[in-house]
Amino acid sequence: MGMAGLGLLLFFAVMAISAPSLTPYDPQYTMQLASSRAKPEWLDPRLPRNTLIISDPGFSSTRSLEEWTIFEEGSSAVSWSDQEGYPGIPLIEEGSGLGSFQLTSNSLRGNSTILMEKAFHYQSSPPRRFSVHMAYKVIVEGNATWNIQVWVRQTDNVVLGFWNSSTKSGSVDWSIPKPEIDTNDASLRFRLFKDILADATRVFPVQGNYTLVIMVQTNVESGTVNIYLDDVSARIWGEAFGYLGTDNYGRDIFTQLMHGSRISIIIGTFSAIIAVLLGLIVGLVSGYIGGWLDELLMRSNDILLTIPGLPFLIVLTAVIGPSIWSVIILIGLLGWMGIARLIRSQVLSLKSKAFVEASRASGAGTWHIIRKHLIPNVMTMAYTQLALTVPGAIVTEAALSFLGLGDPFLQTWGKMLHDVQYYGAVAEWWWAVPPGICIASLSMAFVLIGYALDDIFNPRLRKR
Amino acid sequence: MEIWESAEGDHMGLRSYIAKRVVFAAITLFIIMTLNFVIFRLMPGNPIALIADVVRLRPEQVRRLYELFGLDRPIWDQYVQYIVQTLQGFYGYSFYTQRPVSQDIMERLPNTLLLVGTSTVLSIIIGMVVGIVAAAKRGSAIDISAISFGFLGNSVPVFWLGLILLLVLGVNLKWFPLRGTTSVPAPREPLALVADILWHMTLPTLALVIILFGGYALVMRAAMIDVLTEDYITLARAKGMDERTVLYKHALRNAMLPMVTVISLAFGFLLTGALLTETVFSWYGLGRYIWDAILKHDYPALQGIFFIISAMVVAANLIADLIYAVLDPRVRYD
Repeated sequence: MGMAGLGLLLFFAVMAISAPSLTPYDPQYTMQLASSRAKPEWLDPRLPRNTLIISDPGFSSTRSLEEWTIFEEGSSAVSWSDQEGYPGIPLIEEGSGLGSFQLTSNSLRGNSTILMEKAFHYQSSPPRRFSVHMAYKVIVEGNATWNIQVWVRQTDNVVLGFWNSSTKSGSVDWSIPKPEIDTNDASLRFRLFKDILADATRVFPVQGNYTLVIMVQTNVESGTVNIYLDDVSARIWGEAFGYLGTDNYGRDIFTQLMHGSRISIIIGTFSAIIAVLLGLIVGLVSGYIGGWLDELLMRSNDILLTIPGLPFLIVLTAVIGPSIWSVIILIGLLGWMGIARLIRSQVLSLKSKAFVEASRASGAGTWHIIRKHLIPNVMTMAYTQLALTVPGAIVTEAALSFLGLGDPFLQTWGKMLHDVQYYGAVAEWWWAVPPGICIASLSMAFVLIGYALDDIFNPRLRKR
Repeated sequence: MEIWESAEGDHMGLRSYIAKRVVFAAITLFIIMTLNFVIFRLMPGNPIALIADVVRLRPEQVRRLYELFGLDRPIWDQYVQYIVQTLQGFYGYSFYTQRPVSQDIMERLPNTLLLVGTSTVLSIIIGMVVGIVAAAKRGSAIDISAISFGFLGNSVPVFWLGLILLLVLGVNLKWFPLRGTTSVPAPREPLALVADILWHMTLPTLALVIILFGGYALVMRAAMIDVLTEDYITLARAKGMDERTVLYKHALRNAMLPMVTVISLAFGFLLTGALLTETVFSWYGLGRYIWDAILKHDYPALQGIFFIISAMVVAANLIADLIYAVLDPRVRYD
């Protein structure tokens, strides 16, 4: 029994230690890894995976133009530029360095049209989300107008116009379409399908060949227009991701599960240590010193035992504000009562033992007796109680987090279950089931170890 | 004469025992009220400053609000007022529903009590039966599963078990409704209404009973094993009594005592378990009220709920103490 407990504990310890190397993501802050609430990858091979349609979005070399099919009409020239490159939005996104797609239209007056086409084959079930990222820069010298559009041509040659810069005349420094081209944008969905509830399943409804088209039009009266494009990437958001899918923010559930073990172990052990220390102190003082102090401590013990623990914790954390340390301390402060009683009864029986009385008779002080005779004799009980207090602490923390009173900066197992409840995701069993199994097995590990310790230290119970 | 005296002494013992327990309950309740008062004054800032900041009140309006809520008076005055109002059943106004908290609570309390009552009774009955069978047949499959369920009850979060039952029996098999206390609209006929409520409360009750009965079974089992080693049981068996009579007539009565203590101690656990389970099933009770109050930062509601729950637990403990005194005459002379 004890070995099973140790084995389970070892499993979770390994999980806690290796969590960062098992998954590259942050459980809380790595968002949008895939569509929100993507399913696990092993569930259905036909579910769309994260797909990047353009293989070299940064136009890092002149060969990057090869993946595009380019149709020119009118007086313009297409080339690869090593002079310009999208610098990215400082602190938020990285640019792709130098290198961009350059399009030059010059003085021969009149219209010119360039179509950049990237054909691709789509062979999964319809995705819910599709987005195109693109950065552009326009330098107008002279008198000219320009226009950039982004389309998707469907299998049946129906063209969906995702973005239209509208016809403009001035120069523009590096910028990106606003709002971003993303089917998560309701105005885009309404413009495309006259239905704000539609999603990317209407963009890729069947399997087949699709084409991403970027159309650039210029109308030059005099002078030249230089248009640079960079960071052109199109993404079909995966409906399947990782071992356990993603949550509402597209965060990896497997990562959350792995990292959850760290927080649960820390909270469980630390608050149990606080509870046992308090129980030890109160039990020793109350049992050995006795008198009015004993009376006072035991009456407050009775009262604290009567106050329902979780509601009290709810009120306290709601007022104090949830953080991992306040949760640990509060759970510890409300968990010592039973331990104190056990220690006290043990101390009372030790107190009348011959060796303690002999020590007292030979003039040993209270502190000496407590330190040399009592503490060593109650330590086995303290260890057992430590193991048996951890499960309660783990489950209590889970309950607090479940109610929304967990540390807002930590994704615990309880918080995962809160999210399941909050977003009504019960049916997504790969999300709802694992955290509970982890909470239960980690608690169980400590229960088993506790009972095994009890068996070892109190052999007379073994016959039961 | 001697007999008369001892009966008189017994009576006095019971009376002073009851008085002691009632006084203890009253003190506990008083301390809970005090805690409630202190905790909500530890909060950073005060609610009126918060309101005034958001809606930009004029100074005289702010002063009027302070007067209205009694916040301009000295803290002792506020404390006395709080105690008096709490005892009168007034817990302030909910920030969210804008109604008296007591009204909100009274609306939901019967549903919570229905759930708590049903699952307490069921889990005690099942726990006792399983415990007795486990004690009578040590090492059997029932014994082992009783022990396992006893351990699991402390490790498995009840709200998670609720989610799983909802997933399997509600979402997948569609045997039970996914949420609520009654169907919407609720059936008109009384019989149909009762059936509807029972149908809705099956899953939350099941979750609570699965979590709780193991603990009762373990206690019952240990108590039975203790009793079964007593001399009078050996005597009864030696007299040739059949095993059923020994178990139910002789052993069970004496093994009941620890159960009463455990039932009262477990009541707080059960109540909080019920609150957590309610949130999962959107049961229209106090648990769902807590969930909403936390999300909406509705402090008066939390305060009121905490008081009501504590009062219920204190009352349950008092009742258990009294039952114990009736069952076991020795306790009166403690």
